[in-house]
Amino acid sequence: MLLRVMRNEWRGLAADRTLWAVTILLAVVMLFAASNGARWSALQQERHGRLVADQSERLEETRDQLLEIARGGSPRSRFLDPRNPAQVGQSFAAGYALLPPAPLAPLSVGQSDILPAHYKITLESREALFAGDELDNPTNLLAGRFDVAFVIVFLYPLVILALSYNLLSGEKEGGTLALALAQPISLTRLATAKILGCGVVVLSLTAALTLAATVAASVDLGAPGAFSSLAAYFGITAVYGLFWFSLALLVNAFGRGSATNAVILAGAWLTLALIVPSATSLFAATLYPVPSRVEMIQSVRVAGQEASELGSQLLSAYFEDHPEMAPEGEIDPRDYYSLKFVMEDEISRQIAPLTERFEAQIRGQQSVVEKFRFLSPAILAQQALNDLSGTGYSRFDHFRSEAGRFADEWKSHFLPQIFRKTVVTAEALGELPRFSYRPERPSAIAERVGGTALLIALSAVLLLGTALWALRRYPLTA
Amino acid sequence: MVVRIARKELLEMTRDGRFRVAGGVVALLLLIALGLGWHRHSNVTAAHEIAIAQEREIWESQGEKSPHSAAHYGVYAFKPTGRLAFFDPGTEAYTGVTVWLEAHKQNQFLYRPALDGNTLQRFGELTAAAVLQLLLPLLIILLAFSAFAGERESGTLRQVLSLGVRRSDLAVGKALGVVGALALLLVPAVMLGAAALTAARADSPSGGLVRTLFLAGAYLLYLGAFVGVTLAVSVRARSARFALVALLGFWVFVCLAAPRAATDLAKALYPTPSVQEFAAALAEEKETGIGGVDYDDFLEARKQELLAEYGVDDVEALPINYAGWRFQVSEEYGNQFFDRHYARLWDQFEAQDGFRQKIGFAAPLLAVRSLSMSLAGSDFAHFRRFAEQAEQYRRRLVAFLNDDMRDHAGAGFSYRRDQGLWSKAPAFAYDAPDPVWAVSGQSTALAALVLWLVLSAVLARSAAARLEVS
Repeated sequence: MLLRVMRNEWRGLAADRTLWAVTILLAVVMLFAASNGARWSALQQERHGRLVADQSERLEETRDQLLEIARGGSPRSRFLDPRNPAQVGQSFAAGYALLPPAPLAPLSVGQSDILPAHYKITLESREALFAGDELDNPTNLLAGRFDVAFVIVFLYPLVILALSYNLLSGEKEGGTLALALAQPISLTRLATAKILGCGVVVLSLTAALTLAATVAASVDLGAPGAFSSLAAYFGITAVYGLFWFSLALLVNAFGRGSATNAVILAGAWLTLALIVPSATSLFAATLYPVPSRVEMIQSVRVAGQEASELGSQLLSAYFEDHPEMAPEGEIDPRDYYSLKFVMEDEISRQIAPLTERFEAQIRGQQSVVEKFRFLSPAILAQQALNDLSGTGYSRFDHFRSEAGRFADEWKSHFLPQIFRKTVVTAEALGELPRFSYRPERPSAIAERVGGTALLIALSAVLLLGTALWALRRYPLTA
Repeated sequence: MVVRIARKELLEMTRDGRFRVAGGVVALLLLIALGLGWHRHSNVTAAHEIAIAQEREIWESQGEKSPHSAAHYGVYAFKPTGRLAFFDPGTEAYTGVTVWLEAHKQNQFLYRPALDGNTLQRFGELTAAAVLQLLLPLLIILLAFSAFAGERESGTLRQVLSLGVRRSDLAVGKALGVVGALALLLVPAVMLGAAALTAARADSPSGGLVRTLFLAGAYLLYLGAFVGVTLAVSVRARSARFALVALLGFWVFVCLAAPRAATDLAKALYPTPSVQEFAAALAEEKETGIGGVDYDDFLEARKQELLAEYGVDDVEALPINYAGWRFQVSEEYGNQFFDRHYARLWDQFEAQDGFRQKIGFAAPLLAVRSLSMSLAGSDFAHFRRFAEQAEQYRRRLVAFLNDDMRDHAGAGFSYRRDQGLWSKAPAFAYDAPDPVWAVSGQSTALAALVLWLVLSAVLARSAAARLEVS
């Protein structure tokens, strides 16, 4: 019987123009989204390639220059000497910390348009290294991108609602509901069968289109983790769809007319997908206001002035604290580079409490988001899809700390050489620290995405249960 | 007759629970957005004013050094937030708040507030402008989708028309009813906003009140177009249900899909470099020079001019400080490249925004958003204006310092100055643009909105004239 109702539902769907219109529309937007994602991802990859090439070219050139000097030549520039470790660390050999794109990157732009996927690591302070960001038109960042995740998080629920808002009310208004129930089937079973019938169609359609988008965006499914990520991507899509179907059934169970159902469901979508996320964001920002960066700049300036007044005193104090860095013999109190880096160290130390305050407030905001994210399945789905595509906040956060670790390593490689005025040779260039990205534990991502899927599924089941319960008192006649 | 119809519609709507709930929610969100927007705005403004004063103090108390070292020390310029940004913060979360003005370099702006926020910001911010742009159109659809289709279904349309009511009167009356219901919501909010603006002495040279009036006009056009489209669809639709679904689909296209699609299309049509590519291209051109004239050639040519001017044949014989003069020449050499590269980048951004205005003919949201941000002073054009003025100031300041060094012959590199000179250096004052400047780049958006309003009104009227009873 269940199957028969489902089959009937399909026949109805196929006869209705809505499904065809929706299919064509969804196919068009998916392919558009896929091409956008693919273009963005290819551009990012091309840029990475160029950075790597730039770096090795620069190293090669520096090596040539050093060999030339060793043979008795002189530096090519009056101002830049590749034998000076400070200049090697600052510019000649400055390396990039690169975040490799995840295989599913074309499916979700996520935070990748605003958070940098590469940092140039020099001997500057961390604040300076991480202050710069990507160059994009702010209006673009404001509007966001049309990617596959956008289609799934925002448009796909609307497709579901457009097909199911009159699941029962339509039959009732057409007079077929009473007829159907004259058959040996309960209303609960009928409703379940109808929603299953509709659900199977929409879910397989979306899965097929997402797969087509994945292929169109030339995602390499052979890459490690790509296949399981894609499977999880489908899983999230499925439970997210289930949530919206359950909601539609619940609203239908109240027994109102089709137009009223449509209004209620549109309102629910608006609330869950747009209002709750932006209200939560505003709430978090009000609860944990991040001080203006303007304050930070002032503090750096004041700390800088104080440090420069201390000048050479700082240098001797530094070597008392770090005897292992101290040069043998006399300390030159006017050595430009030694003073510069010791002063920067002092400034970082001075403003550390302020930096910590910024980070604490940002963490505070993010914790509000984490606490309230279950209020909106759209937030949950978006986060999970970003995580699976490697474009979520946590991956960029992790990358930043990785880049920070490398910056420390870079600095501690060069600082002793700078203090001791070591002369850089061509061989020494081969022994520079190199950045290699240590990814997050895959289990951490799996836990996060799995937890999210569970949360969405749980709320869907809750809605479904309530709907089936409410159906017992469904008014069959108006 | 029109008035009577409008009054009946208004009465019916205000008695309708749906309107009360939806209207109440929208009004509440509008109030929250306005209140928190105002709160944020006054915090930012206060921090900004303190920073400007402090920065000047830090500059003046930098101690004894050569004027060129002072130029390297530089100053920070802080981007002010526009007075109406509490209503529409526009791109402010995505533009840096400060720029370091130092010798030899035009730097990028630092610290986009969005990077100091939470990830949900990307879902869109809850601002008063967003409520007007996204939620009010939905409210209009909700109020008016059944205006004709519903009456036709329940049979009252036949009765009304049998009384001899003219079809066009019916359409105008219903439109006025919707407008009246909206006014119930909007008038208190607008009065509140106006009171806040008066409290902030908005009638400044940048034309706060004029901008507010223009803003009100832009939103009236936009919302009017939605009233027209909704009524036109309601007249044509077979059923109220169909009218609702069609109108919601229209909303999704206009308010949700179009803005994002426009971003991707704009980026594809007007590509821009990454931050590293931009820096690399600039450095490379600076190295090779324009038209084969690199720094050494540039300096040599200027040096020959200088020597000729003073009628000497060696820099040692010049009555000026040659080091100071040369610093300024190197500054002028570098500025050519900043002018070219930044202009190219920013023109590209503006082309993207211009493209967005054109999409306004298909999706009026993009037109009203563009106009709104521009009038609130929170769009890219306002940012660019500030950035360009800050850069002009940087050049003035550096030239002032280098020229002082140049005019003190004989001291060479060891020339030192102190607070006496630093406090004489020009201070930066941003010249905020007037409202006419703000709208001058918005003619496409304005045309799109006017066209939408006119077309939707014509459509609604002509549809109503051929209104079918069943």
